[in-house]
Amino acid sequence: MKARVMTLSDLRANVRRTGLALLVCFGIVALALGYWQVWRAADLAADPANPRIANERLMLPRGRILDRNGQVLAESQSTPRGFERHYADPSLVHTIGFHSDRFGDTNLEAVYAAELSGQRSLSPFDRLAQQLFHHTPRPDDLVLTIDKRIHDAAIGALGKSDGAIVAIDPRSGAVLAMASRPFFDPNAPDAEMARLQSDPTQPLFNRALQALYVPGSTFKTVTATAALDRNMVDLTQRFMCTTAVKIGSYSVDCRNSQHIPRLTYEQAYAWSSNRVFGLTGLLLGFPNLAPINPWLDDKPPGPYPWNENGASIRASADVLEDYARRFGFGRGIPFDVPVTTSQIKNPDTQWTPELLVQTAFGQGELQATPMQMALVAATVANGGRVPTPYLAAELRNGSATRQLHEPGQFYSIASSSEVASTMVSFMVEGVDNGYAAKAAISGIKVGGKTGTAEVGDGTSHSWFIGFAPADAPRIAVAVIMEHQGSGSDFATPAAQQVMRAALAVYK
Amino acid sequence: MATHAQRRAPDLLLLFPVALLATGLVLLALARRQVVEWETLTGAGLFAAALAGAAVWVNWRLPRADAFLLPIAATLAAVGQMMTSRLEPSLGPRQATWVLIGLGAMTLVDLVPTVDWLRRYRYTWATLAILLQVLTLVFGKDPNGSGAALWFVIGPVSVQPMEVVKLLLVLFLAGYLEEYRELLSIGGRRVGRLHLPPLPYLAPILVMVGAALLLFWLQKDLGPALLFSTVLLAMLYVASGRGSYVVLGLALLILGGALADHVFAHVHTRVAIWLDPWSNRETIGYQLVQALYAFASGGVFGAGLDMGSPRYIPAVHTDFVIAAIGEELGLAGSLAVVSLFVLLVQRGFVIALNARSGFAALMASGLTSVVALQALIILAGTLELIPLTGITLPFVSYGGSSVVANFVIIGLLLRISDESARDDAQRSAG
Repeated sequence: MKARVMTLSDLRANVRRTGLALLVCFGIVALALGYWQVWRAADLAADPANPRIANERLMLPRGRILDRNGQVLAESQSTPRGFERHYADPSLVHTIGFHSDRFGDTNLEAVYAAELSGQRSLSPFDRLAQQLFHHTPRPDDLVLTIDKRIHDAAIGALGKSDGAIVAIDPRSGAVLAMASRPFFDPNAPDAEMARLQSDPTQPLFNRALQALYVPGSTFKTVTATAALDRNMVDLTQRFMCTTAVKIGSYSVDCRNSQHIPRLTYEQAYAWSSNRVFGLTGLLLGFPNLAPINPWLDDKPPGPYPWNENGASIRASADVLEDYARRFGFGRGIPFDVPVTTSQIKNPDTQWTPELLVQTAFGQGELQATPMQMALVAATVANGGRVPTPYLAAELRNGSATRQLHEPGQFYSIASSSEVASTMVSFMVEGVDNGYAAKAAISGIKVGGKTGTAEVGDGTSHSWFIGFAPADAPRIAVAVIMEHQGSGSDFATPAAQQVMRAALAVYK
Repeated sequence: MATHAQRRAPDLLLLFPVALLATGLVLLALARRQVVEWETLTGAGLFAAALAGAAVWVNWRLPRADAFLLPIAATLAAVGQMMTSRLEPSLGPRQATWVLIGLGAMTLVDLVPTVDWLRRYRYTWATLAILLQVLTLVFGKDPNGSGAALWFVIGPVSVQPMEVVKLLLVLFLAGYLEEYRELLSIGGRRVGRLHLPPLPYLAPILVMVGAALLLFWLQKDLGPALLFSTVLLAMLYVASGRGSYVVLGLALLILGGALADHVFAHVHTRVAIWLDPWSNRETIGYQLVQALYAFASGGVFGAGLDMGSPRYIPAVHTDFVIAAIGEELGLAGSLAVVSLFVLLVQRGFVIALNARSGFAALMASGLTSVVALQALIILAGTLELIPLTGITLPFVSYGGSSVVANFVIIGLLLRISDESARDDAQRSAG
């Protein structure tokens, strides 16, 4: 470059270049603004460390949660700190879940968080209008299928016992009550939480949906449905049941039903004969039942008709597993909040004759949630169709409502409707002339099955599943009371209280 | 030739900042569920009166001055008053008063006999600047607890001498560079392809600027140090046209910064925050991270005036005012502010282009660079583009000295533009 003296016009060229350079810098700043305000806006807005998130939760009211009759179960109350969630009844915590600034949301409060905070009900146009004109979003109210009066009856029926009660309308799948004890007070969870986490009674644990219990004799409903649906049983045939029978190393007895000399299959169900139902499980795989039926009788002549390590065990197990699956065991239950999957046996265990017998009468390695067992009862009451349960009925915003579930859906077919109606009469027999007698309600036909599940520590869980009225069921229930003893004496009267309360208020 | 009324039509633009401030104050009153009283509009009324007075004065004394400068600066000042009232309501009236004083100071610039008179006293400005710096070092107070003693406290007001120093420095540099620009552009020794600056002529500048920088270093005030260094480079380039000075200067700046990063703890902190604010978000990175949250939560349209939560950002009404604008007025608002700076800087450089003397051109580009670079340093710092160094956003941030000094810059630019236009008119008449 040749050096030369600068003129004023050289100077101007320098001025122009300097100006342009600075304007380019402003362009870069503008791009950076776009980067932070548009490109990164969503992810920074969701950053948990952004103080606006906690603040917004405090400043915006949250929608109410109502029972099916409009009774307020949860609402936002204005306090000097901002809005705070208030729950009308702590015993509903496992039904609703809770909303906490420190621990986040659980159950329905989590699943419907967007609607309850007013975020999802908006169309894109409304959202823009809201941004431009600063309307406070109006949150949706969530209406549940729960009837607070039935819930109260369920909590009352559990008394001081740990356990759970699930009540379902078998026609629609609407969950009328879902009670779990022990519970905790969600109105003050933040300070309490540490103590609750170490509480040995596990009050944070929602037993209705997450606890797995051995179902005991209530599972005979599944075994009986399989036998009837496979057309294996002659309803007029009578079985002797006075002695135990040895299956491999396991002896299955008749102690429940030995006061009746010759049992019909219905009586065997009503009096909960382990021997009849254990052997039913063992024989489910045989296509031709005539030669096998005597095996259900007291004097089985000749050798066992199966090869202990052979295909017959697997065939029978396949049938039992198939029917259990149809009722929902071993697969997820579609529901508003997650339900633990119930199991027929541990995944790694091989079927043996002993295990098959125990499973068929309700012990073995069976594990079921109260929700699962309520669905078993509801299925029988619903003509063999497994109703899709639901807890959230609709969202309301002013006069607008949005239905969340179509009532009367089913997600599986367990048996033919003829078999289901036979099972209804079996279960009515259980109440009228069987172990479920304490479920009887005067003037109403009630169906039920008790269960006494041996836990292994010498105590038993008390079970009941059933429905009422038997000719046009409006409520199906499952009751589990931990470590209480026999199904007949504890869970059955508790279920009776719940069904009576439900029939009084729910049509 | 256009009529007087046509030429001054842009004065009607002054209605815009008045309407903006009035709307802002009414919205703030409504958002806080107060009753809107006439008192709410006092600030806007006084602002309108002062702008009208300034416009009349400029029309009378400087009829050929650039007509867009004042509306642009007034709009930025209106945003500043609105945001101050939003962020620190008790400081709102103070900021309004400073804007009135600034407009007054802008008209007082007219007392300068001629632009060239400023050139003649260039060494006086240099001496004054050094003196002010030394006085700050000795008598400086820290009334706001910012960590640096940069203010003179005189009764109820505190003045930041840096704002005066930046003006004096531009005046001195413009005069000095005009004197030696031919020599500087010829260049000194050549090393390979690189022309080394002729050191003897650069020495006074380096001493002067070096002294200023040293004093800022001593005061741990990095923003002005960065501002002065970059303004010097800009003016050196305008005077010499030598890119090598800029490259050399920037290299020295980065080298110096890297060295300081190792030597000075407070510099190291700034660099560490810039490199990764997120892992230090609860401690040293808190302020920057909160600002980025604010930008993000504003989105395109913003939360609305008084509807966001910019108060999570420490010192939001001074250094971080743009983050509050971004949160409450959205990208629309923050880009509008950047656009106003673009317009202002464009007018400033047009004035420099139209200047009839080398000194006027250097002074106009120097003054414009001060506003531009000061805005860029704090905007880029807030947006994590460069390490954050505290400095006000011209006209917008709360701060009396800054507002007044920036209006004086507008006054000087008006004066230069008027004088150039008069020269042109005389030339074409003659």
